[in-house]
Amino acid sequence: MIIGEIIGTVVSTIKVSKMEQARLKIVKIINPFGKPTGKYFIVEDGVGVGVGEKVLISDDDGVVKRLLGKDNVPIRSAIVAKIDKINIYD
Amino acid sequence: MLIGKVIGNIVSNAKVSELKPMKLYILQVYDYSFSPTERYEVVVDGVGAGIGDYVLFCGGSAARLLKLTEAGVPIDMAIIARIDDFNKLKKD
Repeated sequence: MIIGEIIGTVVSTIKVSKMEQARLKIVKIINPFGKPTGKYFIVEDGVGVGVGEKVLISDDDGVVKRLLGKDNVPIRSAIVAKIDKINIYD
Repeated sequence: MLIGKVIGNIVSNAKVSELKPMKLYILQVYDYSFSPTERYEVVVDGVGAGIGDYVLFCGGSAARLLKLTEAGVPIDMAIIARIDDFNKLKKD
């Protein structure tokens, strides 16, 4: 899973029917030390997190199927957790 | 499978329900000559690894075959082994 920061949302009224209940967020991918990696994702929000929060993203197609409970949803990655604290020891 | 070293963990209270009992570790990925790379991953712990341990982890659907993740837990990477020792063949 990768760490991201929510920077915006996506609103779409005309879309594939399977994406009806999808809540799409735009996420900036960062490494555990907060350095942006230059990648941006549009992900399904499985937890309901606000803009500016750090989140954990599962980047695998099987994930969204479980979250939305529907098969062949054309979304690949999803937010699975809101990050409260990142501890680096080493 | 890839080699990683546990360098930290993630605290999260608001998460998908299946993730509740899971420990989330931050790994620095090591290459096969056991030197660190710039790649980091967040994984679910399947074997009870600790901070500073070297581990093997796998991704994709293989990560969801563990007893721990059988209930269709929405993760994509999991620790499946802790490395106790390794021997590196010297390339001369």
